Amino acid sequence: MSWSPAFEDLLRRHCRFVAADEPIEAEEVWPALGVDSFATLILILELEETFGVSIPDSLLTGTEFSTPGLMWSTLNGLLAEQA
Amino acid sequence: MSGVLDRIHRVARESPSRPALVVGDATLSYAGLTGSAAGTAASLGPGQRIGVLAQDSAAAHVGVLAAMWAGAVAVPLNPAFPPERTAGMLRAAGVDTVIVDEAGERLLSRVPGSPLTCLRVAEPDAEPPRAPAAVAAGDLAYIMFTSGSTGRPKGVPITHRNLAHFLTSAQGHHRIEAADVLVQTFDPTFDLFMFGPFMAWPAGAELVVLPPRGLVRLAAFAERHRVTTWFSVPSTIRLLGRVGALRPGSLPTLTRSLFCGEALTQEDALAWHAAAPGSTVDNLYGPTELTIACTAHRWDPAAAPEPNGVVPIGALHPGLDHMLVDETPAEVAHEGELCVAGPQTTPGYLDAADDDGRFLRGFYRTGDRVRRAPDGGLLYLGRTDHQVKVRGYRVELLEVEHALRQVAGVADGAVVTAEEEGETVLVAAYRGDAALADRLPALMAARLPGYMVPRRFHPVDELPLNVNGKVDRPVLAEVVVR
Repeated sequence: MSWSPAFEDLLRRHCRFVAADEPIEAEEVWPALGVDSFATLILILELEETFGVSIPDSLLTGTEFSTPGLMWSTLNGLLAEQA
Repeated sequence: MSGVLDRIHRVARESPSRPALVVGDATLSYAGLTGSAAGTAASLGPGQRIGVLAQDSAAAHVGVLAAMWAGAVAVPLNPAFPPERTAGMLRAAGVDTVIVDEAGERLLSRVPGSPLTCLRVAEPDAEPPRAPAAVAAGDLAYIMFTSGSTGRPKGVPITHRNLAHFLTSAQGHHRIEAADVLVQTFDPTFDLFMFGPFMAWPAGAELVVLPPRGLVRLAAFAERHRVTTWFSVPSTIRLLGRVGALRPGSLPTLTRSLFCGEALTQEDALAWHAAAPGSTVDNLYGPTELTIACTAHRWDPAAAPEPNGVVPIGALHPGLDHMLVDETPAEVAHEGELCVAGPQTTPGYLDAADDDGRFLRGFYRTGDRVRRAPDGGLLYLGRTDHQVKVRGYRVELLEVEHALRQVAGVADGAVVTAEEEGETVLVAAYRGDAALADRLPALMAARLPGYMVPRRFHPVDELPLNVNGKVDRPVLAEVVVR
């Protein structure tokens, strides 16, 4: 999946099981990428800060952020909505 | 005796529509919970070892209850763990049937040649659920796997007597009531997972599972579900504090907060107390071998803190014997390795080869050094061996090192801990191909659960050795720690 360099940078800092020259799989679940529940908290907060969005509570408990691909599409939905 | 299950069954008969388990937007009533557990149990036999391999929290909780409802033995596993490791645990526990959800089934399909029966959790039907199977006190309730210093996880069987004694003692201390809402923050492979369901359900209370991203909006989550009873590892407090998510008074619904799995500091307790001023704070202690927890200490915000800044772990549950063993025998030892015997002590590891001197005349040697206070309460001082805690998870450094040496291109390796941003993290040093350093996290994650994978890998020319020819960890720590 193609996403912005800023999003890629954010993911790279957190996906510790992905080597620098390997792609981050868009469909993979977070634990397999090395992002546990603690790292997820930091990742989501950094996502809000980096992209200047505010994520509604209801989106966090569902599947909207459960993979990098879903996180990217949910982020774009929010950016369009909150623009 | 199957007291705890009978009590859950009684709640279901008397208040079938009461909420029992909340996962995401779905609520399972007591009728639904027990109907589903009893329906699933109908395909299981007493004494059978039943794997529970589910990512979906409802299936994970119902699966464990179903196994016990049948008089079988629950073996909780995690579909996020590597397939080979899971396959090894299934074999070691003698599991032939696994209760799965989609994620669990997917993982099992990656385990070659496993002749396992996969079972989904049953939908509750209209009939009232049949009664739970009768079990003897010495029958096993569950088997938990924990990190093993021999290089593979070791199975800890827990009997119904063990579990019942824990529950009675814990209920005497915490007094959970039907109006309470407990939160589940633990992974099913962590034995503290058992606290939520088996404390909440016999009391008719509600158990709410913290969703995967639930910590991000913890205050809103607690408020929405009117959570009264919090239970987590102390690391959670430090994480929330670090990101500024623990605002004073932000958790007003909490009346009871429990922490276990690692040392709770005075600073942690104060930070939590400020966020949840209406809540008591209890510090619990107990290795898996002693069934969930075997002490509890009610923290007093007004009391003078201990010199080491750590909240005491309190007195042992009633009915447990203990002794403090020191290398230098004194007439009355006030300090030493805590050894515990009695109704919460496991009958012994699944594989007797894991015993390795851990049992001493019926006492389980915890490997934890403690000091006894004049009031009889215990204060945790540290470990006697190479076991560490990462967010409350038990990690044997020797098991991580064993996995590291299995990687092609690694000649030798050692693992130490570092304190970074208020957290204990693992850092590895290895002799071998320097170009591997970037790939080692993924290679190790194929063998170990995520929390056991070191944060960083440093290629070194030589590992420092001490006078005994073993890796000198304190020296190594200075080399690799930032």
